[in-house]
Amino acid sequence: MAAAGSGGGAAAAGRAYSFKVVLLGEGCVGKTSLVLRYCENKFNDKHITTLQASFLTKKLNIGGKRVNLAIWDTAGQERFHALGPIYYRDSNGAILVYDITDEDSFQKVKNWVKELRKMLGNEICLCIVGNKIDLEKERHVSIQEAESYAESVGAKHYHTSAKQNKGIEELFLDLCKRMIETAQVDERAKGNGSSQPGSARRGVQIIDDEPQAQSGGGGCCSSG
Amino acid sequence: MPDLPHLLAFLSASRDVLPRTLLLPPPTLRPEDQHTGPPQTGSVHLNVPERVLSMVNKLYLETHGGWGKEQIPPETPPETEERHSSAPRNPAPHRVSWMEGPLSLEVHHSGPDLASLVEEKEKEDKDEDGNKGDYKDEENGPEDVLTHHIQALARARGNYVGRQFQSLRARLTSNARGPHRPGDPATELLQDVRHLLTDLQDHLSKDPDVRAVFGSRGPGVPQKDYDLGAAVEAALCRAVLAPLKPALWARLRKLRAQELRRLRQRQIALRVGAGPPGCQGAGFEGPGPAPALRSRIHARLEHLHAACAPRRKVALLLAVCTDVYAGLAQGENQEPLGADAFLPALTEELIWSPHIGETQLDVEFLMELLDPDELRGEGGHQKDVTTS
Repeated sequence: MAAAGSGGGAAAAGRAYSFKVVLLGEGCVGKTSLVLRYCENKFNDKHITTLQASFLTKKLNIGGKRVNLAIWDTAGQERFHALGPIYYRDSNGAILVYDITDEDSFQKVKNWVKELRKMLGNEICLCIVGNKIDLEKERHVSIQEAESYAESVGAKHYHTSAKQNKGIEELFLDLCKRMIETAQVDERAKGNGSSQPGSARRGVQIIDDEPQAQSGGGGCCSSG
Repeated sequence: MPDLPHLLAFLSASRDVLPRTLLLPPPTLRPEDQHTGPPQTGSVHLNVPERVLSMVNKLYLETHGGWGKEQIPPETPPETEERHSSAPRNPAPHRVSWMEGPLSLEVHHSGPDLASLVEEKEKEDKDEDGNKGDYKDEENGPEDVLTHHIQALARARGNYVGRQFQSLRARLTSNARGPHRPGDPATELLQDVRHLLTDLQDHLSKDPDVRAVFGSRGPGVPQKDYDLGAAVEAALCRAVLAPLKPALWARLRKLRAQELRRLRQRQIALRVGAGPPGCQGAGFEGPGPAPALRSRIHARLEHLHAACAPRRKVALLLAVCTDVYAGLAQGENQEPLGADAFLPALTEELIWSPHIGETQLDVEFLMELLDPDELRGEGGHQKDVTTS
């Protein structure tokens, strides 16, 4: 069933990409709020798993490609920093969140970037997110500095407000598109399922999935 | 959900991350709690001088009858294992559980604890039945005809299943290391167990005899939507993994003795100087869970260790997570909670868990056995369990 290494057309042939995304950042920058807002129906049981907001899932349909997104929240407290590798190992994407009113939280993001690039190289898609843009007047992190830093480390930068639900949908959609591209490159590199079992990255699996209706409108996101 | 093992790992890793020690309450063991006589059914006894807590599982005795006393087994010779695997009885190794070392305060809730333990076990069994159709836990006994068939193959010589099974069993009871890989011996051993299970599952799923047995399981067995691979996997857990379990765990304990000792020391250090459980001596936010809930969490961790099948262990671990969240949701805040709230709460439960060493090995076991690239079908199932 876990057919990592299948050809790039697998997703179109009734199967779905399965991606793991990890949320990292200092405590109180709004990681949990972001993911809850993204999954939007906070009190909808379909989204709230056994692990509540520590682990959320979302199903998407992006241009006909179905994606199962597993989003892992992490504890921002410094004493849990050591758990980072457990969370980000085998992640396809990382969302590094800072609070635009807190310069220290941006420095923490830089530390995470260093660690992720050191441990995972360029395999992981990085998003750097300045959250709380509803507090623009209290901004302590320069937009220019943040964006140029993101560019310098191969990450994309986003501005969000979990409170006002701004920029979040775009963030996740963009990340998913990048992860699909990365997965397709991986699949092409591996050929048509010729890789040895166990050699594929665990995070990039193509798994069987039940039929899912296309979403209306732009055929973009359908949750559930 | 293929990455559950990563989350599981913080069960072991979180012991390292607390900034300072908790406060431990003064010892409150009452003289009447001390018990030096023989164990009695349906009770919890302390033997303080020997630092032993004995618990008699009343439910087990009611279900299976008889009286036996098996300590966590030492290295078991192959002959005994074979008899054990072939015996038409429950393969679960523990009739009496023994826990050694410092005791948490929960031992004083002996009566209610046992009751809740019974109740929870029943509830969990129901939950699992509901979630997984006729998937049976190993505690239900090897009644399934497929299990009998695989057991017979494993016992016999001269067939592939028997050779593979007996080879690994011999390795478990010897000091020989596995071929090829020069890595950590415990990891290597668990990888060999995983290879055995996946290899046999693959082999048996293609076996015409197994297919015939599977197809003739009788009218009472629901076959609609039932996957042969899942049936073989479940039967393998009962017929192959369960008989290997005592020797496997004894070996793991031996290989990990140093780490487990350090883990226990760290746990004791965190308890020492802590306030009563729930007093948040390490800076945990919010109140701790009620004593009954904490007892339930610890009982589930004990069940988790007693279980054999990885799926069962995962289900129980998720039940622990649910309980931890339940403990956090006592206030008026009903919003779903994230990792900022969950990890400190889980860490505190582990600090007070009497099973932390066993939980550590359980986590390692799951980390090695649940790789979806190797254990086919497992990734999809984990996803179902986690998102249900």
